[in-house]
Amino acid sequence: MNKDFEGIRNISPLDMTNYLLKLEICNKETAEELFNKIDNEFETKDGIIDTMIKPALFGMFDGIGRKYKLKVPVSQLVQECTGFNSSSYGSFTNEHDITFESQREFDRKKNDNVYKRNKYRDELSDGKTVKDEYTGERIYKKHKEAEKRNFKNKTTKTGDVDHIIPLKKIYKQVENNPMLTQSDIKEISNSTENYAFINSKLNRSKGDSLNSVVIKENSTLPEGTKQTMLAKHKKAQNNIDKDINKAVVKNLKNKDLRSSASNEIKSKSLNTGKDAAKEGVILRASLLFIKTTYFEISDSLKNGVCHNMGVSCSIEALKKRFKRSINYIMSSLKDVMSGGFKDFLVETIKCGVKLVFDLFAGVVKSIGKIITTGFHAIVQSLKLLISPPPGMSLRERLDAITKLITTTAVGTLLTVSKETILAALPNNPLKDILFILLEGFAVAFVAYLLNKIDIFDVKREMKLKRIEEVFNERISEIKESTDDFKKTSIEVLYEQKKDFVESLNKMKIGIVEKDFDIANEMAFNIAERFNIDLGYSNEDEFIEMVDNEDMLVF
Amino acid sequence: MGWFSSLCSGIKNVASKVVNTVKNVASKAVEKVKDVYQTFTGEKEAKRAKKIYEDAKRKYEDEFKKYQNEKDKIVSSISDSLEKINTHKKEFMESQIKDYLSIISKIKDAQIQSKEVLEVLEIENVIFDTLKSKDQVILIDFDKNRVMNNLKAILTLGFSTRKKARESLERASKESVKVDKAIQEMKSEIERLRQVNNSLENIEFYFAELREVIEDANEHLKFTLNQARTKIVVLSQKLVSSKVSMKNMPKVSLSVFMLTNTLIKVLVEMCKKSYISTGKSELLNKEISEVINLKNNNKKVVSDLREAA
Repeated sequence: MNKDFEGIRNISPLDMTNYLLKLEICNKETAEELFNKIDNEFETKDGIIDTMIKPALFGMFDGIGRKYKLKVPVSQLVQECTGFNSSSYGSFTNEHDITFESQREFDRKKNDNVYKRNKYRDELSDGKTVKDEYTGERIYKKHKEAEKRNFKNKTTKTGDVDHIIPLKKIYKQVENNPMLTQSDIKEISNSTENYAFINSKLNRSKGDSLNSVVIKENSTLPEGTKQTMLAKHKKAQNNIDKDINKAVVKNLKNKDLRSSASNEIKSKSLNTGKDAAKEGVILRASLLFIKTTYFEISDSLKNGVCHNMGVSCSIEALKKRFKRSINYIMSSLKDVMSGGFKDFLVETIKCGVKLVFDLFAGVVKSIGKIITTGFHAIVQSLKLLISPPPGMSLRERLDAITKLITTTAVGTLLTVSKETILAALPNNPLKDILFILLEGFAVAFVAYLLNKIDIFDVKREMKLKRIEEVFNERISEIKESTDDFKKTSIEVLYEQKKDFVESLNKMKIGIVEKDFDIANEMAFNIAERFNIDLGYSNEDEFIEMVDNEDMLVF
Repeated sequence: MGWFSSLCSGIKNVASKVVNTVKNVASKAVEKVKDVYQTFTGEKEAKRAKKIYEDAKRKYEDEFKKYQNEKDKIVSSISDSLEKINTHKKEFMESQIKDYLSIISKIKDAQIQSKEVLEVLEIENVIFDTLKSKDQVILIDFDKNRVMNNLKAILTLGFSTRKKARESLERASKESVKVDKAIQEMKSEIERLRQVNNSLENIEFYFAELREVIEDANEHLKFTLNQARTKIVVLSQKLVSSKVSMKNMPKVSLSVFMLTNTLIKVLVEMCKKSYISTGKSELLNKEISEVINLKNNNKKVVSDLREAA
């Protein structure tokens, strides 16, 4: 802040030199003190609260807001209103979980292949018995054989061919896939890798459950059986995924299937884009309104209604504030519309990509999920590379892209492994919230680590920029203060001398013309300006003083 | 011969062009590789840091020299003003005031108890931010320990040398902004000294002008008091204790007396004032009065001794 030198005007000419010598023209802070201040500023900025806790909490609010399908996530409102800026979180559109329409209904008979199952059983047997593929025990191939021997638990001594991944589960996985035919599904469901000959009791208790679920619910199963069941489950699922992908690729040659799928992808993507644009426009417009209102209310409460309004009447100020808000909203509507168009493009492409990957299964589908979930990050990264914001250096861009990609990758990885993580978490109605908390903290922690590691040395670069900024500001402050000081001092010194010369000349004329009244008046003037107490201010007081004193003392 | 020699020269030309192109490409490639290697080792940044520091140092030294020269000039002018002010103070206290006392002795007894404060020039040295030494700023210098530094860079995959180079760059940049700030502060200080000088010149001017007026006023007072005295004698009015009574004094004489007294008082106060109060002026004045007292005491002792003798 510049110094105020108006005080110079009140100083007597005789005290001026000392005053000027002692006057503090500019801030005395040394360069080292300024460096320390900037260091502290950066330490606080990088503090754990700002770089980790805050983004984590905001991320969680976002997650919760989205989970419960709140139209405007809480954090979005807070961010918009308070100006908090965390680029990693929040977009204006809700997640659209778009899938293909169901193509068919489940019919066990249509999906099962009894002939193939029996053939599988027969191929496994070496006479009357077959080895249970889960427990390893020998069991009878046919029920009659067990009945003949009158076993107490006949169902444990005889077996069936089990669909390791139940038919219903496979059906659920592919029911909406427009690139698969009924015969493809039957073929996939009845691959020999999905068969296991097991005792009837276990098969019946399993029903349409997955092996992983059966193991959890059936604690009496021996450890070896559990391991085998899990391994078989994994192998069968991988095989089914591979078969699905193969079938989809094969069916790409089928013109009818291909055109029906592409039509569906096209119409769904466009609809999703339109919905996203609509939502985005509504959200942006609402936020614009809330933000503007919030600013006017908080500014009025903080600084008073008339603050910076150029009027003293509150009603006038309110009118001005209202007009200002409307003008701002109207001028920002263009951005709202262009934001809506951007949402349309991004969501249409994102949905199209997602639907294409949804045709596949396993690793391919996961890759698709990663791409679509990280789509926003990819778009942002490309934007940063192609048209960076003005003044952003290459290092800053690379740093921003690394942070964006890494945090998105962590978030996506967690989302992709959501099922596994949720399975590992204790059974609790708040499981989903716990997952969101975990996701929020994980992403924030990675962001914090990246910030600490500072791969591209951006912090140093930013610090140098800040130092330059602070010092330039300080230098111009010193310059301005010096100029003000110079201007005021010259002006005051000139005025003082001019006053003195005027009084002196009048005094001299008075003496020459023997007009001693004027000469005395001017002498009093000079004494007053020099701040000297004479002890008298007119002739009477002077006579009285001379008469009263025995001796004049100087 | 003709076609053969032109063929030969053509081949020669082509060959030389090829050689030149290859040389250019090779030198560009070498430059590029060097550039990449210097980025990898941090040499590029270290060089930049060194240049920034050296430029800052040169700038600081040049500007400090300019500041010192300018300061010396102004301080010399301040010293002249102070000398003149001291002369005014001494001359006034030694002669003009005494003339006045002698003139007014016909009306009133008066004495001088005040003592002039003689100014001692002492301008406090302003401390500006100083530059750190090169060793404190430049942590790595590829020009000095080329082999060692390159070895370090290779062994640590450039991490250690790059870190030092960046640190050097940060420190050098800090020194650079520090210099810019210090230069601005020097300019500010020079401006202060200029205004201090202007202010002292004004004071010297006030002294000179007031002393000149006092001369005239004293003359008028002497004249008017003589006139008044003559008038009183002529009119056979008694002189109280051989002094002109204030009551019997004509209006003009009273006015001149008041004017002279006012101006004398103003000048006495001006003499008692220290315009550059660093403490030394007062100290010197105290020492002078002590010497005078001692001298007076000694005189008294000598006269007592004489009397006793």
